[in-house]
Amino acid sequence: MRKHHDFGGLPDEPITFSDHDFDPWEKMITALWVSVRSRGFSNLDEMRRLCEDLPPEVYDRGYNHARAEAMANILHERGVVSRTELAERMAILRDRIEATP
Amino acid sequence: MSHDHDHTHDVDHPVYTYADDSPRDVVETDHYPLMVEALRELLLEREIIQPRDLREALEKFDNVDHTVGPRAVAKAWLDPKFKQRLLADGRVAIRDAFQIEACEADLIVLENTPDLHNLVVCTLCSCYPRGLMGQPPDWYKSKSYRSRAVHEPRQVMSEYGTEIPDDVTVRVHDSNADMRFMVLPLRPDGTEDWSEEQLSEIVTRDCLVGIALPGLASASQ
Amino acid sequence: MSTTAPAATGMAGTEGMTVPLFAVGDRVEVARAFPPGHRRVPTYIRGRIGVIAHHTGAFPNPEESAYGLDAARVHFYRVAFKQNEIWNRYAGPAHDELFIEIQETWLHPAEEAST
Repeated sequence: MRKHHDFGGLPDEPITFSDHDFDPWEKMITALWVSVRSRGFSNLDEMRRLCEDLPPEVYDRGYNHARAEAMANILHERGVVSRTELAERMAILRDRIEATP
Repeated sequence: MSHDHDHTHDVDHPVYTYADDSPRDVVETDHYPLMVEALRELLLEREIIQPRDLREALEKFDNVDHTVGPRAVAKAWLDPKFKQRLLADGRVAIRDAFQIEACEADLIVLENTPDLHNLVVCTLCSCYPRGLMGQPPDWYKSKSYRSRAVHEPRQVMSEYGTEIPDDVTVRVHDSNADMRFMVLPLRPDGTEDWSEEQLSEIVTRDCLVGIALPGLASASQ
Repeated sequence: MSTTAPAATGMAGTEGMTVPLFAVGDRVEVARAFPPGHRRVPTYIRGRIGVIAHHTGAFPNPEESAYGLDAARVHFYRVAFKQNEIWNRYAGPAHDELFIEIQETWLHPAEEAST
């Protein structure tokens, strides 16, 4: 009855009070999300719902990882960019990177 | 290598492993950078967003003025009228004094007193006044903080190094809806003649979340 | 239990709406319900009894806007709870508190405490 993301009240391990500098992709997903939101294409509640609906192992990968997956899902749901198209573009990008000496 | 089928161990089942026995669900290290780059290209190509949206968002990410929160605290310590405005409507008070938008709905400034200590968490995700304080730190977004801050706040603060005496009430705020929160810490003793600048220097981001107390030891930072 | 509430905030989005059902100081119970779908009321607080500390305003119902629906505004309140009335084994002092924003649709009046 408790969804995976609903962590309040669970027992858990001691906290490591650390932080890390953002990788460029993390900054970019944040900026993409802000942009998508500013255009009215989606909203915060929808982003939260999509993150919450991710499989626990995916949600647990990290905050920005979950948002990237959620963004991919909302674009797929809206018929704007399918998961297949996204995977194809990722393959093209990978080839491009591997071709670069 | 062949193994007997043991249906109690999914990892041995042929569906879940590649021929080389590696688990199927490994995510390659470049997976998310590639995904995000692909998303960027496609969002721009399909004109869901415009290049200027992205430029503005990236600039905003880089240009959060992290001094505003500490300066608002220092100003509140020195100016009782500003403090009242800050407590009455944090977003408007900060906008008027510093010309920034702390958040979208309202900013509630939580005043610590000798009898009350406030701590902020978002158990459901990681709501945080990003306009004022930038991106939240990893620990704020961690499962452990989100789980434990609500039911064992004193232990969590103690792990950080903050001890709150038992005769002081600890009040935890779960930031689960449209309000955003900033803690107004207690002004430490020994700062009576300090300038606004000196005072703002001892107020760290962690003080504004409520996990830390402003300390004179951090005056040199 | 102190219930300091800022004065000027809390009127956001309330124009044209029905008056709030609850006032500061009212005793309320969070519904003990587990509907599927996107909800912003954490499980740990469901079924618990607290006191209205602050009316924060009216905002689009997140349970509807999460699905891209035109969400009606609902009143939200910050509700004050005693920690030792939320958790079975709260280890801190009896005066420790927790405040959380709950939308009106999840609240109903609670019986007065019989002490």
